[in-house]
Amino acid sequence: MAGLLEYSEGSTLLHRANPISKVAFAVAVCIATFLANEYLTLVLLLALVLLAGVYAGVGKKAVSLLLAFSSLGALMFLVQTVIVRAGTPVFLWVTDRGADTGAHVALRLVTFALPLVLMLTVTRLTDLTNAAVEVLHLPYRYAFTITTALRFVPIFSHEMSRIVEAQTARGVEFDSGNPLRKLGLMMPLAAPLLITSVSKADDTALAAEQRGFYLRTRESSYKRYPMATRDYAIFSLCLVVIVLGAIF
Amino acid sequence: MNQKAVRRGGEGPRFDVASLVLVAMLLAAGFILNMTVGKALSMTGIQPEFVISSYCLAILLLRPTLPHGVLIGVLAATVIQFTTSIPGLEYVCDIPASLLMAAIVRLTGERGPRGLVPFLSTCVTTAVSGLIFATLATVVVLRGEPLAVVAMLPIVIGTALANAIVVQSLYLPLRSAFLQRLPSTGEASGTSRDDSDGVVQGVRAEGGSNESLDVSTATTEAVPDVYPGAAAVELQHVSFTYDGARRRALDDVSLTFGAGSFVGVIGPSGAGKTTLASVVSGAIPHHFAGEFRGAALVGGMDTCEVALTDVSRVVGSVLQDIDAQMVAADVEDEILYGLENFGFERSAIEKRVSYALRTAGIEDLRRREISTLSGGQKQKVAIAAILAISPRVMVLDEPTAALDPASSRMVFETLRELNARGITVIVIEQKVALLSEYCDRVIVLSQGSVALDGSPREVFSHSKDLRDIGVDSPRVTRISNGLAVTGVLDPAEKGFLTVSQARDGLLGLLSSTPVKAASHVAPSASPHRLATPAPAGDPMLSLRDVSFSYGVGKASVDHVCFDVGAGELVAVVGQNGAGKTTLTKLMNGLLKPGDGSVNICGLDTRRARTSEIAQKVSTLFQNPDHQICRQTVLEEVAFSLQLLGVPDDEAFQRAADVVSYFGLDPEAAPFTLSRGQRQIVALASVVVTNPKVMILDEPTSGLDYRECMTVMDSVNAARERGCAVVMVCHDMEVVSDYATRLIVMANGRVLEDGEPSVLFSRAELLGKACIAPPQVSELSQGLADAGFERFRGITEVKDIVDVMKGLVG
Repeated sequence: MAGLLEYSEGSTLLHRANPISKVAFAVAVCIATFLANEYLTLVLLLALVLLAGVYAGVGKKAVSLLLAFSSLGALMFLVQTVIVRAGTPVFLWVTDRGADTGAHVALRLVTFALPLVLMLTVTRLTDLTNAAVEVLHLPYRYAFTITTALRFVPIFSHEMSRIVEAQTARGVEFDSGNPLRKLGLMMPLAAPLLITSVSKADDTALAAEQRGFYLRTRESSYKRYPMATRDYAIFSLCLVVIVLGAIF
Repeated sequence: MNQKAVRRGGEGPRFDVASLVLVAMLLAAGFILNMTVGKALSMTGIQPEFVISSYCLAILLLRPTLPHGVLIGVLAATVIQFTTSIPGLEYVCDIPASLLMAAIVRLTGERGPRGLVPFLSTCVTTAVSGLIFATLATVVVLRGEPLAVVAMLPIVIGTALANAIVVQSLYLPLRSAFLQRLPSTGEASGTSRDDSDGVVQGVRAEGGSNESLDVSTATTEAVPDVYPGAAAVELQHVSFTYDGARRRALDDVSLTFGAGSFVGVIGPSGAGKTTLASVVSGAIPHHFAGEFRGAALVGGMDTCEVALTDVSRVVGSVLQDIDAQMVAADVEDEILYGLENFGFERSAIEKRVSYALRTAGIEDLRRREISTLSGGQKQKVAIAAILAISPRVMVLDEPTAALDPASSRMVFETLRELNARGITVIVIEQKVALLSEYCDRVIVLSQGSVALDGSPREVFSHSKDLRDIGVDSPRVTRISNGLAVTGVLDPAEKGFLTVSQARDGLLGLLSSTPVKAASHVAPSASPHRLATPAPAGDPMLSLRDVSFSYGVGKASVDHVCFDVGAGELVAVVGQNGAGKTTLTKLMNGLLKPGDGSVNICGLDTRRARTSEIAQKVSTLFQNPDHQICRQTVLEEVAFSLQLLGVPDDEAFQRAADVVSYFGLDPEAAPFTLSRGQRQIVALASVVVTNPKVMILDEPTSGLDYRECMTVMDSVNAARERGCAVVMVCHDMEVVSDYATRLIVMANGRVLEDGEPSVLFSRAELLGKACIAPPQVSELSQGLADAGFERFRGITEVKDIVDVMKGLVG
């Protein structure tokens, strides 16, 4: 999977909905996918997700993700056909039962993979963690830990480029095929970043403390994430989706 | 005399914000490692799963209770969740795994994980996580055939082994880095947490401070006066010794900072400047463990008797590590954070946010992500975030260490703006020229106590004492000191702090005294600069019409052409974005030129591998932490040689020689040393390879005066051995002292290439490149333009003084 998801700007209903309801929607689709048996149900679920993506303006991204997952799905299909040999052979080693299982697995994989990723592209991660604190009563300190980890990802990405440059300039070879040599690469690359992260931890903790980390309560947040009509609508949709999945 | 000793410490680590942040950082690092190193290490699809390694390391370091161990697993799963697809699966895998890991670590008891425990525990944990993942994913989630799990077994086992190797190798170095964080092992913050129950009451009880939270009136603009008449900060016989340290970091320091003053603090590294800043901001004694004597009064409150947050309500603190001091991902949230936590009225928050942004001059950055900002902008955000809660005092610990001159000046301008509004500013800096220009008081620390204290004029007039302590003074002040020796002026009164003061002062002297006809004094070269040897043979480094572009349309480096011969020290200057860093990367082979050729001792960089180029070229980067990867200084320095294929015993022998030359302790762990010492270790790694070409990227940033000299002197020593040196540097004084040749760049092109003293006198050239000349060059140019030709081309303090003496004295 590619790096951290980019938030795409927008003001559609989906963008403005409470982050929790968006995640709930993704979870509901996944539950339905798990329960569903028919091909049609799976395809409909997939179509629903893609539709939501197009509505939110991330249609192109949805399609590219779909293609990426499809290749993984194809691989799973092959693996399943190799393993499931029961039933009448259709083509080479593929039997009809094998193809059926394989197709289900592949479709399920894709439908599982898409919703959460798509929902996260229309949700700011900080909004998500703040909403989790307000709506789900997640203790603030854990939300803070998550946002700190996510915040440092681009910073460490930058650091990592610098580390790779510095070590390459020293003569560390990245292109050797020898496995033992490859392992030897690990220290010059991983050690500086991990040591830096441990060293930075204390300054960050001190800064947080000084700025009132321990004073914060659930009500402290300036930005609020109330549940609106659109969120209840989304929740109803979730229920419908799950029920449909269970039945079909 | 208040002899209160406050001792904190002794308990084991607790699971507080410091632990949570450590977990967060390790997870973020693991995430990035997966994306970068993971790919490089991948063998037939098997690679280490660094996020799992990260939480294993976190559990090994923190040794949490079982519930906290599970918590770490949950946090890790959430971070992974943001990138993988199947919701919930990661939790099911990593919770049992982290529980198992925590249990194993707990079983090792008091002594902690030793020997092969990291290897085995990580192996088992990763295998468990992987197996659960494989089984669930295939069978339960996808409802496929169970046998497919068997197909995944080799990958699971391979990953488990890879992770185990990673964790085993990294555990000990990380443990040293973790324990070495001088500050807290958790218990001190435990203290502040207990206090925080009292904080809410504390703030309400002190009626004064509560009023200042209600900001419908004009108090948004002015600083609320909680304790009118009290000095902003007062230290009474403060001494502090860090836990485990032998020497006192601060020794019986008594200082009073009046409200509204702008104080600069300087001193060599290890003098106690950061400790002083921590005492003022309350980090000592609340966060750092150690023995504290005396009293620190902030706004009338004794810092030992109130909570940390009470102190930070009054004193805002800005650290040197720009990224670590932030708490949010975007600018607006960063400024809101303190406002939300300190209980400001919701109606007042918006006004305060706008006020803070406006005062810091960053209104247009409101919705930006902090990671996309430049260093100078980030520091302004940090200042704005503190400003929003209207502190009375601002303490800044080397805020401009990593910034270029233009950004540094911008930060100081913002500080001046703050000071004008009544905020007391205490800033620790090595940039004496900026301090002398902006501060109204300068304090010099040496070995934990105050050596000098007074107005900039008074303090900098003691050039010799300052040099003995290990502190530089502004060049123009050295001029006035030199003239004071002859009795021409009285430095305490008329000492020069800026170039314009110097120019006016000298012109005033020249016009008031009859000018003698004196023989022309040939400008001497800097005492630091060695004579350039006559070019012998082929140039070491040769750039022929080199162009490079990062993207379409924008040339980063455009038709650059120059040679560097043995023994030369070429300084490349220009503002940020001029292409200097790109040029250095072209020179050491990190980048290959799009057009033209770069030739190093006969090697064409387009054809040679970077490792071949490394045999001839050594680069000293700005941040030594980007390359330090070994357990001891000796191993680190030897590593450079091992990479070049030098056999181990020879490598260690040569490394030992270089390490003793620099006076470093060969057995010390590099990351436990100070920043300046780490840079010296990096320098040792560069010098030990006897390169033909040495490239220096901001070699003196963040170093104190003596460390600068150490670095540049060894560069000179290398030059004497025939090395060609190319240096990118922002510090024009260093350039003026050491460079034999100057290349001025702008917009990717070389504007000029020549003798430094000549180029520094060309104002339009410097203007085009947006760089400020060294003080003495600017002064001599100004004097020459005013009609005194004798000053033209002078770059040395000594020469200005001599010419003045000749003309006037």
